[in-house]
Amino acid sequence: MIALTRLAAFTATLAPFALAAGTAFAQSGPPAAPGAGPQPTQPPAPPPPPQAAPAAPPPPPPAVAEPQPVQYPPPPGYPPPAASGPVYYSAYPPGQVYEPPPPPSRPPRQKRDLLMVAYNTSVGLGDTHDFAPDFSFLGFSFDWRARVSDNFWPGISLGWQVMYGKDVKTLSYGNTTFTGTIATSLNVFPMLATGNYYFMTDPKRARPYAGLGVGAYAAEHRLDVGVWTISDTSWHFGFAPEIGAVLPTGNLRLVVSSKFNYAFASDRWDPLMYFNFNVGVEL
Amino acid sequence: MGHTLRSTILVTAAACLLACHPRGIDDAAETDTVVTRRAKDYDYSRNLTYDIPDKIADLCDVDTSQLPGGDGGAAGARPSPFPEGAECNEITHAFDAAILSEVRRNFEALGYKRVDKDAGEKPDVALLVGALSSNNWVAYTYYPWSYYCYYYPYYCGWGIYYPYYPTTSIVNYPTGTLLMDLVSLKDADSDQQRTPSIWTGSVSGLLADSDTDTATRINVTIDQAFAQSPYLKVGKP
Repeated sequence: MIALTRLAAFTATLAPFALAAGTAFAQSGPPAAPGAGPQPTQPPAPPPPPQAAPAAPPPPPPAVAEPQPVQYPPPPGYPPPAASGPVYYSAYPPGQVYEPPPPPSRPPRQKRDLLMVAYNTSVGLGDTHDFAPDFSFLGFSFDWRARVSDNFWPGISLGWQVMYGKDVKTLSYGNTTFTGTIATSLNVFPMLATGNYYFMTDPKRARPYAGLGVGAYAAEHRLDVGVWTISDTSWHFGFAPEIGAVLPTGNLRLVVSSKFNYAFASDRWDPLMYFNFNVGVEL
Repeated sequence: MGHTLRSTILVTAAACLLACHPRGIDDAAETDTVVTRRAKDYDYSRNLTYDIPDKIADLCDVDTSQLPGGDGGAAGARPSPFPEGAECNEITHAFDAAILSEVRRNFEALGYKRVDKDAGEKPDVALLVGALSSNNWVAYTYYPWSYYCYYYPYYCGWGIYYPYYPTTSIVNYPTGTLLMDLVSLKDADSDQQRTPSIWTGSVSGLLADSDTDTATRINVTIDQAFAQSPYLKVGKP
């Protein structure tokens, strides 16, 4: 009953506009809303005479016995604004589209852990350079890092680096002098616990980081002279600060980094000291 | 795309692993070593004349039980018998003339004059040259110069001894070694009937097939042995 009453009032407000629309409106005006408008088969009701619109009769008062509803203010967008052009569907105009509130602005969740596989080159310094002076193109490293926070990723680092050199040397010891080709190689296996801090955490952008590894270095010193080979393996305690950056490129995340390795003297072997230059991928 | 790139990286890494691996000693000439020893506090400037045999001794063809004993102390103990398993190769004498010529050339460049043995001159020093080729690792002390006694009893009717240092040398498969031993006849100990060795030059290397390379390597290494022993020069204090 109330709905009908309101519909009547609404229809009355539309009357002047319907007249302005002319016959086009009259011929094609569809129902307003399913169940609320006239039946599709029914011809549209003839517009009331212009003079009748202001004198539209007020809706009949509700029955006294019924509880009087509270007159709420109409919701926003109701009644709908009048159409300026031809109106074929007097339906309710679409209301405001619901848009969910934007999610909190934080980067996508990062992985729990990562694996870095890198190809390493190196150059020795100090005593290590004296023993194996050539620039080394042979080395690999594997880094596993677990996420503690988006910035802090501790992990472990395993590597293998070969340094080498070959030269004709003349050496004197006491009353003995030796001349010959001496080929040296140094196989270093760092086994480090690492802590890594990423200064930026958005995985879609470059992520520079700095890290420090502490742990053991196994070093196999090998010396070939003449047809003889002397080799000796030593263990060292050492550390390795590192800086690098993860670069997102398509499906892969490239990692470029540089690491300074220092392992303290052990037994009769001098300290190990060398720089790594690494290129790898983060998996 | 991702798999292709990863495969590329792995293949590249594997290729580099093979290509870049240090090869160490990879040529026969790189196995050549020259070791010289000098006598401690010996005054080489006093020597002027020398003699050298016309043959190179085959050091492997020796009955070690007949070797002279050592002097103990710095000279080491009596030499152990020639190690078992030391499979000596028969050395070639094709290079003898070239070797001796090169040794003489270097030695005379230091100022020494060769004596005329037939004229009865007695040299200050004798330069004995021997060679050895072995198929196995061999380490022994003292070279058995008594072998020379068969040809040159004049030099080694007495045993040669090494008062200043033990002469331990190592040869191994399949190497050739050329040993030059300078003994001082002037300082021979007549009571003990022994002659001191005052310098040794040992040249070793892997045997190669090419005669041309071998001749070159022999010359280069002999030259090096004398080049690194400038104290042998006559008149140099």
